[in-house]
This record gives sequence, C-alpha cells and structure tokens, in this order.
Amino acid sequence: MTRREELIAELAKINFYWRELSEGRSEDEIEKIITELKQARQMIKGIFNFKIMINRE
Amino acid sequence: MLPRERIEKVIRLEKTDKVPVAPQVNEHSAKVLGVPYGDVFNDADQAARALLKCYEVYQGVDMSFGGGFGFIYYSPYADAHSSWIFDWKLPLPGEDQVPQMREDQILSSDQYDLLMDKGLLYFIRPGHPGLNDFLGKLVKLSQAMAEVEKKVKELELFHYAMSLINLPSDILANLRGLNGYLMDFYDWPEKLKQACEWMVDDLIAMGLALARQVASSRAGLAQTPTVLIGANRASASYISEKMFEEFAWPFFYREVMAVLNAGFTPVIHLDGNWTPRAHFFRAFPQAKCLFHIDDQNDIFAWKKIMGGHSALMGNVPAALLSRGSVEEVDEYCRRVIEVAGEGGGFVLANACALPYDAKVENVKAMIAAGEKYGVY
Repeated sequence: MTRREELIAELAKINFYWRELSEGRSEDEIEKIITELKQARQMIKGIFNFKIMINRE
Repeated sequence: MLPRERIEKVIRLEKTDKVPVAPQVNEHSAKVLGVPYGDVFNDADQAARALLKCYEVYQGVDMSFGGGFGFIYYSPYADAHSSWIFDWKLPLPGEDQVPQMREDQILSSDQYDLLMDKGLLYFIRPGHPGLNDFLGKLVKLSQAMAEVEKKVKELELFHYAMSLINLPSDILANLRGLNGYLMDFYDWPEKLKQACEWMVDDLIAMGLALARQVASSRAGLAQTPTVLIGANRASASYISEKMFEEFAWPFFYREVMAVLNAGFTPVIHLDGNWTPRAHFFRAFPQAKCLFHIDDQNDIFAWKKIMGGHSALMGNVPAALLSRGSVEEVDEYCRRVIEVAGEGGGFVLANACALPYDAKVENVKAMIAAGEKYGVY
C-alpha cells in the first residue's frame, strides 16, 4: 500500500466525505486534514461524549 | 403579577390576570435595529444591541426574546441547525438574508448501519466551521449578552428554552433528505426504527446536560427551567397517524417524560400541522407542558382537544405579521384570545418565530391585543 493509499484509508475511517477531501490533494494536505479532523472529533467528544456523536472508532 | 409568574401559572393552568404575550424576535431583531441580518448573525455585540432595541420597542411582553446571533449554526450539536453536519448557506456580514438549509440526501438508505456504527461526527462536512469559530462565538455570545440578561432579569421575563432536544425522526429526515426519509417508512422501516432507538437516549442526555449547564449558570435567577422539544417531520404534514404511532410517538413520549422527570418544563415546539395528532399529547401529565404551535395548526381545534389539559402558545401566522394590516392582526388576535384564551392556559405568540420581515407595527398590534382583549 502506498503512503497515499494509507492516508486515504485512514481518512475514510473517520470521515464520510473522504473522496472529496482527498481528491486533488497532496499527501501532506491529506495528512493535515486527518490531523484537524481528529483534533476536532476529540474536542467535540470532550464536550458531547455520546455514542450518537462518535460511536466506534 | 410578574411576567414570568404569569407564564408559569398559564403552564400550570392556574388563573392569571391576563393572557401573556410572547413574540419570538430572532432574525426579526435585525429589522428592528435597522441593519442587515448578516450583521446580527455574525456579530454578537450587534445581536445584543438588536435585542436591547427590541425590548425598547416591544414593551409589555412576558417572555424573553430569542436572539439573532448565529451561534447555533456553528455548534457541533445533534440538531438540524448545525452546519458541521448539514449544508447551510449562512448570511455574510452586510447580507440581508436568513440562513437557508440546502437539504439533500446525505445518507443513502443502505447507510443506516454506517451511521450507527460511526456516529454523527463521521459526517462532518468539508468546509465545516472550525472549533475556534465555535468556541470564539461561545465566548463572544456570553460576553455580549450580559446586558441583555440584565434586562431580562429586570423585566422578570420567562425564558423560552435553555436547551433543545430533537425527535430522532427529524434528524434522520434531514440526513436522508425528505424523499429518502418518506420512502424509508415503506422500504426500510426496521432500520428507521432501529436508528431512532439508537439516537433517542443520547438526544435526551445531551439536551438535559446542556439544560443543566445553562440552569446552573443562571442559578440565583428565579425562573422555571425549560427544555425545548422540537418536532416537524413527524407531523401530519408529512406522515400518517399509523406511521407516527409506530416511528415517532414512542420516542416523543420518552423525550417529554425524561424532561419532566429531570425537573424541567418541556416547551414543545411544533412546526407543521399537528392538529390531527394533538390527541396523543393528552397522554402527558396534565398542566406540565407548553405547546407552541405554528400557523399550519388549527388552534381552535387544539383548544377543544387540549384545553384543560395543557397550555397552548401561538399562533399568529407569519404571513399576517409580514403582509397583513394592523387591523387584520388585531382581529386575528381577538379571535384567538377569545377562543384559545377562554379559561386560561394560553400564551399569545407568533407561529414558530417572527418572520424576519414582520412589520413592527403588526408585532406591536399583537402585543397590544393581549392588553386589549386578554384581561380576565
């Protein structure tokens, strides 16, 4: 698996719009999106820790 | 009698001196201040100025006003207003527009399991608001609204709602899009029900957690703690009684009872036509809830069904407030007060929220009608 494929697979695990978010973007850009999404999800989970917000990772 | 006491008595179906009046200004506050709505939506200070102006212009009301600041759209909350999950076109500063949801299918019919497996935050949209947007707006809001809160306290007004709980079917309807949602009653009924079941306890828990937080921040203020339960897509405007009974009513009942059991007063905000379903609500404990119904409802029929059981609030039509004359508003309010106000248990208000472009003189006429026709 290439680095790009790994990143896209990781993105697909955390976001429904992974195709749109990865298309035409460099690996660094995708990595940044993953980091930002993970941070946002964790912070929101800190505020609203309910399964309807984040269920299984 | 203090305004908040007047509404508390209305909810308990006790005698009051007059029919309370409760316009909900929201977006309309920008018009009262004379600025484009985008300015109020994006600027908490401007939103606070707009609300203070409304308290100056609309005197003699009994309930606090909902503001026009767009905070809720930036909140990652399980609600249709959240632009983290749903596609909203939000007004920019200087734009005289109200927010518009571009409702489309997000989730396909075979993705209910994906939703239940991953949770709502899996559906965070590209271009979603940043967390800093949300937290920054939260701070700005609490700072800017200090003066407004002081005014509400000084006027002893009743707070409309401290928190919000949606029906599971409403959130699913927005995720599936209206067509998809309606088809699922026929094609995927078990999944629809399963997803409602999956959501309901968390929607309750989130709403109550927020309500407790807001109530504790207002500790020391004498007021009834309230939680808004909002519902639209399970109304008779969309689904049959059989569908309602199976897919919405059990969850509706659980939400209202949970709010009551937690010591809060449910303000049940009903958009769409709920008149054919009103008889279900007699199952709730008597004199505990306030039903705010919009202008698709026949308030006279509601009074026959729910009079003596629960308090009603409404339902001066948006079109009348925007396009009607002062005389027409006065006449509508007279008729509603005469029938729905008979024997108490009634708050005169606009349907849903005031339309952005409501005429100021019409809102004043609605408030005046409370004094003119509503004295017991």
